[in-house]
Amino acid sequence: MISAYILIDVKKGHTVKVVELLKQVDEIELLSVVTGEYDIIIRIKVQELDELFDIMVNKIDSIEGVNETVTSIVEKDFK
Amino acid sequence: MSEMSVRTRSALSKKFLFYGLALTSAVLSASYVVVDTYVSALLDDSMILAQLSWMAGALIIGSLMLVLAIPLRRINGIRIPLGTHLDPNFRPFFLPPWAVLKWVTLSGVFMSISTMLYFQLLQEFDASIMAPLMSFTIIYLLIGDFVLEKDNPTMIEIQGIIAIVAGIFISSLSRGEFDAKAVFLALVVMNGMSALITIFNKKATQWVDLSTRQPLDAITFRFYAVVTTLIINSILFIILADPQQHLGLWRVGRTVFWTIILSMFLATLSYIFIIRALRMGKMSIINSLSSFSVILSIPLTMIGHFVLPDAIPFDLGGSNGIILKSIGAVLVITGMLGLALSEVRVLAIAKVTEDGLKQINHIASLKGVTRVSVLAGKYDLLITIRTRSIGKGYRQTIRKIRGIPTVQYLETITIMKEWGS
Repeated sequence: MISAYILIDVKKGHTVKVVELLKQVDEIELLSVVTGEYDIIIRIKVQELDELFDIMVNKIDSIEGVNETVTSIVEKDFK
Repeated sequence: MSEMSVRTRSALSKKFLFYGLALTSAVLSASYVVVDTYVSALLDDSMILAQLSWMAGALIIGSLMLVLAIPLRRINGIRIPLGTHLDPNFRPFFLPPWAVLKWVTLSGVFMSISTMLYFQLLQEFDASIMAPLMSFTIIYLLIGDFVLEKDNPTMIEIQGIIAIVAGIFISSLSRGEFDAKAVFLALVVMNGMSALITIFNKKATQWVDLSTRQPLDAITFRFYAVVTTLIINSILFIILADPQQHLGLWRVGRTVFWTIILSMFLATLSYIFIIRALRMGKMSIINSLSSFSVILSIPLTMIGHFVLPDAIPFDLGGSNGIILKSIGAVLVITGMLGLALSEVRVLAIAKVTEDGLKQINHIASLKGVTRVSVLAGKYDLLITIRTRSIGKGYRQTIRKIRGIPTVQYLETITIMKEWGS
């Protein structure tokens, strides 16, 4: 299993709509609306990198209102 | 059926399953206290009851371990046992090192004495009073935190403590009399020991196997906790009990053994439901829902009293008894809900020097840190912190991470709203 954090910058006024669409993505295990440079942080779990690519391209980047994403794959979790 | 509606249904059933597991665990917790009240009415000997309980507990968890060790499927040639569905870290028949067993043994000493006291107190209090009394442990843990961390309590913590103390006091009054000695034994001695047991158990579960990076799984932990407690309880029983009690264990014990098996089965099932729920949702929600066992103990004791009036007591202590019990239980739940749900999560993203990765275990051990993820990409670490207030999180955790010389950049992010586990 591969886990990754995706930090999402959302266009002003689109946060609620983007959250509602992200909630439909089964592979997302944690979705947080946050303060700071990015608006949303999600933790995603997939079987392989291909799947991560598909989700990023077809289910996240394609959402209207998503400005920029930063993806960080988890190498190891402690605790 | 569209893909969207299938997903929505799947998300809904997952949510119902999560809440169902946590609430069922609360019902089971309240039920086993009622069953224990029944057992205490049948046999007035707390030493024999404690010994029988741990024998029954070891039998149940041992059988469960055997069932969970059955390999169900193979992934990449490795047999995956059934227990991994409950806890992904499950390793059948794993023997933990002494570093873990020493905490389990210490916990076992107090669990053994605490169980004897618990059965003794069930002679005094019915289950609907016993359940709120058992909630007092959280106050010791909070006060311990304030002292150790040299930190002031937040307003929510003060309110929670006051609500729980007032609720317990009012519940105790519902009997119509206030037995100061019994309340002292329950609040100070039994809950004090429960607080120590919680601390020792936490120490044991913090251990991580350095070769596999796996912590001790919850099922194996429960197995060793029960077996160790049985061994310690057996030693205490041989030394402290008189010859008549030794004989009574077999003679009288046989008459209540199956009821004790039922009680320990309910307790084990409640524990398993919690483990399963933890894989699906937040600890704070589970703790909140579990606290409902306090109020559930009232109707369950009433039902038990209606079915077996001689064996399951229900102290009304006058016409206001039921009102006092209900107000007490509601106050305890209010306090526990406040404490469980007031937690906030803070994320911190960090960039560290090459040597910084060696400090991960230190960061993971800091108060409030629930997870440290090592990342590939723009940032090196994503640290998840759970705290009662943002100020407390800053004082207890963020300031300490900032103080680590290898941390070059640290940005804290407050979560405004979140979904998932």
